[in-house]
Amino acid sequence: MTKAIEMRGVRKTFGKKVAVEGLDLEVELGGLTGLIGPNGAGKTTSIRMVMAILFPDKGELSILGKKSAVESKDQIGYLPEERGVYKKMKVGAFIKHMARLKGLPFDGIGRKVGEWLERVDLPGVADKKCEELSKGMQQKVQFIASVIHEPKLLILDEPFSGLDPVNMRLLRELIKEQQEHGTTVIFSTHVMFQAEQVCDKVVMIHQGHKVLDDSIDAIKARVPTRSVLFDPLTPNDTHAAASAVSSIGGVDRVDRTDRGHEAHLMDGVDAAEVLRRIASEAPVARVELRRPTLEDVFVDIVAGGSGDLSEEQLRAQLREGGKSVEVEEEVSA
Amino acid sequence: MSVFGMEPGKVARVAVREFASTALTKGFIIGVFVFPAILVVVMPLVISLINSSKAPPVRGTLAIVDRSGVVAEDVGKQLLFAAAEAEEEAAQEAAEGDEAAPTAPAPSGGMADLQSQLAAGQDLGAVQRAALDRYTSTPIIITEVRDTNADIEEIQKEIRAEQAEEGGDEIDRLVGVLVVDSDAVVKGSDGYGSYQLFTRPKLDARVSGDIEDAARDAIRERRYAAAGFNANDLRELTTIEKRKTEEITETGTRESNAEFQMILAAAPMFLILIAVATGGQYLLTTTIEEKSSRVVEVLLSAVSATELMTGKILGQMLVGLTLAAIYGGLGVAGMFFIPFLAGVSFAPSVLVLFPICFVLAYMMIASLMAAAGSAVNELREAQSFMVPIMMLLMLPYFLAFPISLNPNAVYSVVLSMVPPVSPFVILIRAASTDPPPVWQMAASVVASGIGALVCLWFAGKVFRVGLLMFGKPPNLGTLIKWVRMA
Repeated sequence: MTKAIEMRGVRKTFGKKVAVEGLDLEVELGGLTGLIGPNGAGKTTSIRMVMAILFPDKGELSILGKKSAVESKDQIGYLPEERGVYKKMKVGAFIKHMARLKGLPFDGIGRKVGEWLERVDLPGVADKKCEELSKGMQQKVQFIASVIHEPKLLILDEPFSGLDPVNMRLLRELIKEQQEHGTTVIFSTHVMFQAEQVCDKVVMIHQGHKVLDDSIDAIKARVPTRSVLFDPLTPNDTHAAASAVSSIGGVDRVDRTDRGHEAHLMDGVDAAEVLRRIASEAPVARVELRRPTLEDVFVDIVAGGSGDLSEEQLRAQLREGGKSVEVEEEVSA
Repeated sequence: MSVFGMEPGKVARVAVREFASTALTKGFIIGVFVFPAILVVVMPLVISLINSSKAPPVRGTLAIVDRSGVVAEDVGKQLLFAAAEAEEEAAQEAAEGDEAAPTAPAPSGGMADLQSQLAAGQDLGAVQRAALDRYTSTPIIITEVRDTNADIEEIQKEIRAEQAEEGGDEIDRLVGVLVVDSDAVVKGSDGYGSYQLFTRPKLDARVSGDIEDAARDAIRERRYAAAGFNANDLRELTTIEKRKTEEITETGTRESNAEFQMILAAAPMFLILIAVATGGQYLLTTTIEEKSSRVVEVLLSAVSATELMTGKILGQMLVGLTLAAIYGGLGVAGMFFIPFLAGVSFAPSVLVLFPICFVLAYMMIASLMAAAGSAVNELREAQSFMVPIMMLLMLPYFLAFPISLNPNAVYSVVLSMVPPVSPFVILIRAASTDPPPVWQMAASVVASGIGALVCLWFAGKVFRVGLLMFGKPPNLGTLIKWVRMA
């Protein structure tokens, strides 16, 4: 067995709505894979099928070498997007209950729970009721519940949503740590930046179809660099620098963005050549090639493919928060 | 190891949590004992309140138009004696309630006193008015004899006019008019006549009852005398002491409780009804809680929907059994400590059927409850599903009495074969004085078993789909679609 997950031609519909269509997916053992795409793309549905919570209408699945996750549930850790705790249960008892359901032997569970609570900066909450914890704290408790049985495969659905930056960093470390211990990790997010920070590989889903499946570096290399960033030498040079850059052959237009001034290039132009010319001809303090982000790649693929959404609309869709889209998808069933 | 595709260990773990989070809570323990406490404390209280509810101390005057000419005075006396008797009883009760008090002294103006006063030739009106001050807790009605030929409508007008005006002494107001027929005492051509009472509006029914009693007693005594009988002799002749029927037992005899046994036939059924309704209700609540707190998908990462539902159903079954054991135990304890309950027994068939019927009835109701709980997002939305399920449970409750009276009527036999009421009905029939043949019991159990399997199958499908559905609660059509989908 070399693959943690294999999906072939998987299709899932809810009533008339097609949630996932013809999905082929392979996840290597030991990797850290991001499942990305905007809200409502079909990420959660795909994950639920992997978890055997939903069953595909068509197609084949293999999870950790078994036909279905039903046979390997104890080796999988899962943090769903729709997550909660037993409000009236004590934190320690809740984690123990989940661990026991995952087949962990009774001996030593208490000690393990204590260690994990310390690890996520929640010492001494074991005897508190879950409802007494804040939402972020509850999320850390849920994370412990998904990894305490040392799973071979860890699936995290939107793990960062609702966390503050400090806890986001902590969770990122914990996820990487899991991978270093040999766990195969898959996590889904609609915030592409998060995937870029953590993953070696991403699978991109859009409107139920897989549109991309590659390593981060390979994906970025696919999209040619089409803009150059620069900063004027002094604030007084802003106008001169912008007009000098605009007049360079191959530069389409110059925008001011939150990353500085950005010179957009025409198709087929050698970016390195433009970079050299800007450096020699314009009064600039800094000039660099803007590396494409995952979001750029996504927008490039989707806008090129369907064309029914403008680039701005697509970017807005990626940035909108909330999970209402995915919930509605269920309701329409 | 797996049973029906489920891991027994996981199912047990879910069941244990379900039981612990329901039955091992303060709320449950208090609730369990509040119910019998209400029965033990409140019921006797209500019964004693009903028994001791005497007529309110109404004061007023009763006009009597005595066309027979011989009854009026006696009606007045009877009313007075009744008041004296009630007053004496009340005094006695007060003395009993207050243990420190020595035996109550015979109250002056008691029955004996009155009789001697009247025998000595005192005016009835004066004696009645004297009683006014002494009797505080009983109604006192002074009688006022009108002309034999008085116009009844005129007196009625008088009462109407009095009702309209305010103030005045209560005792002087008319509470009504009693008209005694001329042939009430002496037989006329059409047999004996009677009496008619007209009262003011809203006169307490117990007061008018007292007046009617007095009228009847007075007329009867007069009839005896007119026919030449001695009233005392007749009373003795017609009175026969009633003795309790005794049942012959192996060693001797004991008071028969056949009537009670008939009521008790429904007891095992009620025990199951309470246990099933409680377990089912909790199952609904905890399922909705798991859904609304979003813990359900976390659970589904560890157990399958079927394992979760099975565990929950078993856990709440344990809760129902605990309840049945506590109440059943209290009942058995009652048999040892309450003489009236001693000797109550159930046929062996009831003891065999009881656990089977409990499990089958519970499986049917609980699976419907689990399905309802999984389909909705909050308790409020569950109401529309709860009503039909609760009505199913109310059915045996209403049918209990007619079925225990006619355990082998056609409707009893048919209902004992129709799930989901079948387990309840067969239990009533088995516990009745005329139990059904064994084949009918077996057939009923089989019918209930099929019903339980169908309910579990349906619930399993709805549960699997419903758990992850958030949004508008489904209607029946959607539920059927889910069943096809799952």
